[in-house]
Amino acid sequence: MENPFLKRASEYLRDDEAFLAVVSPEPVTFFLRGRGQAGTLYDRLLFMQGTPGSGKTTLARLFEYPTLTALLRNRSSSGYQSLAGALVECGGIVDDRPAVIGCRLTMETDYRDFWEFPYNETLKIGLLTTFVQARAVLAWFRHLASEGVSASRIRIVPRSDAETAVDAIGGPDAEGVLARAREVEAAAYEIVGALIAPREEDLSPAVTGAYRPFDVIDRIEVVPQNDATSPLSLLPLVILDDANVLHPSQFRALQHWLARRELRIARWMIARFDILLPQEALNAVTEDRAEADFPGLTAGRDIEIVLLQSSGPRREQRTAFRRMAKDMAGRYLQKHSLLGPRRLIVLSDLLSDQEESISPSALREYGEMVNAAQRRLRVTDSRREEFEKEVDSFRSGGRAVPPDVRLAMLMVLLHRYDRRRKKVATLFETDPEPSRPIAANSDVHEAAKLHLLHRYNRPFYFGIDDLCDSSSENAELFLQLSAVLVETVATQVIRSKGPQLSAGTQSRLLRQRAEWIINKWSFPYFQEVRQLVTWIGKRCVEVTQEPNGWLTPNSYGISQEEFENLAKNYPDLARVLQFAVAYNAILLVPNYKQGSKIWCLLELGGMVNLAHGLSLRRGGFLEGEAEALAALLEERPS
Amino acid sequence: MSVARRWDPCIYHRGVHAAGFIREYLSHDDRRVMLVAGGGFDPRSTHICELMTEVAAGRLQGLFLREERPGPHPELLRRAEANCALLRSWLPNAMIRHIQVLATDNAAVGGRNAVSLVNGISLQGFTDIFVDVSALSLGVAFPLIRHLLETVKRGGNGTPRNLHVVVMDEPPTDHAIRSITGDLPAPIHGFRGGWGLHDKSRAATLWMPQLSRGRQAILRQIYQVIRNAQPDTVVCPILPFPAARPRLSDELIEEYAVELQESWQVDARDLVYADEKSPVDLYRSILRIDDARRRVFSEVGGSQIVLSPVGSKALSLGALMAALEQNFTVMYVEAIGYDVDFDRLDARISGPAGEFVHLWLHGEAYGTPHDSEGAGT
Repeated sequence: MENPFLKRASEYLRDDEAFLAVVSPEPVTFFLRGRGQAGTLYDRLLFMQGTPGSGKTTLARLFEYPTLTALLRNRSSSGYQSLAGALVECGGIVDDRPAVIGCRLTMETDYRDFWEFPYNETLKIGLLTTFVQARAVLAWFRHLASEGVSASRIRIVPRSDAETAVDAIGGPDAEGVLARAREVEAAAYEIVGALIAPREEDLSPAVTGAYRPFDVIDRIEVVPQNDATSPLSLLPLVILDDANVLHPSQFRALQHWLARRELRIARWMIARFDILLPQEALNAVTEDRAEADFPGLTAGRDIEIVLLQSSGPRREQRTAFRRMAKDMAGRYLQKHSLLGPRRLIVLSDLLSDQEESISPSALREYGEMVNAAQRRLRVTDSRREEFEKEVDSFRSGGRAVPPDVRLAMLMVLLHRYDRRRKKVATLFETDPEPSRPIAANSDVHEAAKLHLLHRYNRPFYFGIDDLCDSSSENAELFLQLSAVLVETVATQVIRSKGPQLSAGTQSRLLRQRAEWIINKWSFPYFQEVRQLVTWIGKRCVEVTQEPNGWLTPNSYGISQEEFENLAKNYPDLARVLQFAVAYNAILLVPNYKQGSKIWCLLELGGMVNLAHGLSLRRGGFLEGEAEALAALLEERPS
Repeated sequence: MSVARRWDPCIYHRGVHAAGFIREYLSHDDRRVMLVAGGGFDPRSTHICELMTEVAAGRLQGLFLREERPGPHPELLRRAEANCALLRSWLPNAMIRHIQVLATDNAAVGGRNAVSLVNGISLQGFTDIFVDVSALSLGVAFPLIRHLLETVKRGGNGTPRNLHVVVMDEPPTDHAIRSITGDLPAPIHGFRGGWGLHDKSRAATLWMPQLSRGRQAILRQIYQVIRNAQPDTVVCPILPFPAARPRLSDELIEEYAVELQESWQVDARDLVYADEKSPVDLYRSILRIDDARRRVFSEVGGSQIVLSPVGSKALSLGALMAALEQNFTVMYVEAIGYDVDFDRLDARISGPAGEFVHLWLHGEAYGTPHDSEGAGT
């Protein structure tokens, strides 16, 4: 039985319809609708950033012309309507016709090589932009051809102020534009493929000449085959995917070049979430060369930034991810050969959110431990009663806490009281007041549940929200975690049991799966990354288990200043962190204010949190220094 | 109808035949030899040089490339220094050059740097060039061989006439050296083969990965890049058979079960078997498949073959020959470092040596089509 959750969305690329069937409209709506309505989606450079699996390419692919036309072909089908609606909202579809002609160019190959040529920087960037433009033009023509539109039915509409430059791109006929683009691409490809870079004076005029279709083209029109319909006017959109592969200087130059306001075509750049780079690269991305290279250009105004993951308004983003993940799960469940036909297509219904308490004997044992702690800490009965009342009045999700959590919360409060009361007892004061009031709040509740997880393996991770939150806002990780739950649901259904998974089963499966995923890491420096996160994870567990539950951390904080000098002072650590961040082992939360200090938090990814049994709540961090992490890496992983 | 191939017949030797050939061939006083090889930590760096020094002392020049990657283990550096010292003791005038394999942003630039370096070195006065790929990464070795092949083919006064490739086939050493691979699959420099060109956009793409143990992650990455560009890519994995261990191909099928069945959707009839010990067998197999595909797809956009020789070095030479002949794309992922099991490596040094493999790629043996003769063993 095939489990659709084990496939990435991009694995459905072979077939547009299959791809569209699993794509959720939620990310389109969350990330792009507002910008589409504000008009900033197509009139300036859009820069999209996220880790692998965060859905960058899926989002981009939706705007490719063949995908849009496939969506429109199937718009009457209920499965596609919400997606079509989302694309209408952000201007990709207007009046039931495509409004943009998107093409996606992956920067994975070829383009980076221009940087290695022994030419001056201007020429190298010029070659790159020429190549990009030729390939974009070819891709637009290719997409139209795949929909049965021949070059003879295509009309290139130039910008009103660029009509005289049409000849330089092979115009005015579309056939001429196509032929010129092929000529330029072939010439550029010959250079990039040459074993030895040709001398500058030997470069073909096709690539050194004035070939600037992005500066010339305003719209692409498709002439209808009959007079019954009006010409289709399309806004050209070029999407440069995986732009992080470019050399940082190329990346910066390309970004500035595309950010020019006078361009009429829409342009998006997509890059992996690479914050840390070795020194030279870091310099290139941190220096603001906008003023020097392109006067009057500012990133904030001219570049629209979309961060797909864990930055900006983090609470809002987490909520949006939950919505998207639930929708996506529903779509995948519909494709499940066993669960789909049985209409078991709401993942949250399949995951029980009923807490499971520890066994009665464990509860008795724990109660005795609480009594012993009370005696050891010399807390009076009246003070304990006061704490018990405090806990009894606490509500989680509108409900009173179960007995085991009640005891654990009481344990935390007893220890907090011990820490906060006067240390020097007096003859007349047997029950001193604490320095600060002691309340049973959500922090105490969280700490208590984590204590029970570590002491009695009480289920901690269950319910759809925990599943979403442990996915580090990464669609691929969400699918990987869900896959194991869905498989177990299917097994229960086959055995004629109820489909819903208990909290205990969920928690166990999720933690096992997380460990499995971590063990299967195979990205660069994964062993060092594993060593790093294991060290942080263990330290967080130690603090989490402290009896007063003062902190439930899942992050390691270093000062922002130290972080900014990381590549210079600790290049090995920077390199390892680069991949840790790129592959969701660590999420960076820069400029985090705590007290008078500004921190950069290295927040453990969801898999690490699950594997170590850490809180999924954000903000709890251990204060530390980069030096400690660097020293750790000097001990080679085994 | 059979198609004439550049290396069919091919001058190819293995094991004692290879060593014997090199001894006999270099014993002639008119042979002036340039040896291009790796000068790193790999114990195989010195084997061929040692052999050649015995028979061609005074007529042998060495160019040893030290591939450099960021943050090397100190023990690797120590061993590389020791190997270079040994090479210098045999060839005091040898050139030892450092090659940066990765740029500061981890882009693979080793091949380009190696070609540029070798291009700047005069080959005047040499009759033969031997490239020993035993201790070179593919990203460096393949472009280098292509460049030298073009150089010897171009000819000219005083330039070498013969190009040979040798490798010490020693799988246990390969197993002791684990590559820490990057995450940027790309065609090897000089082996783009039209990948990404508009004119190839309609071509039916066939990916032929060479399966070997513990390389799933790399092959998954490569496949993702290929599939993103060509969603209809068909996969024909190459398995070693016959092999020293007869069950090896079955074990690989088991190891790659998920990839073969789910990700790559490989039809059982699409498995390609190639003799583990014969690069020429793989070369012929690839070209046979290419011939058939060219005929079938010529009217519907053409055929494009992408090779990923991530397995044994000896077998990868077969892929190299096929790629050189038909300009195939060779896609791979460069190593950003090495994780070496030193105990295992040292155990190999004291144990029995591997086998030399020798391929004569260009030169006197292939003077004219009718006088080329196979001397394969």
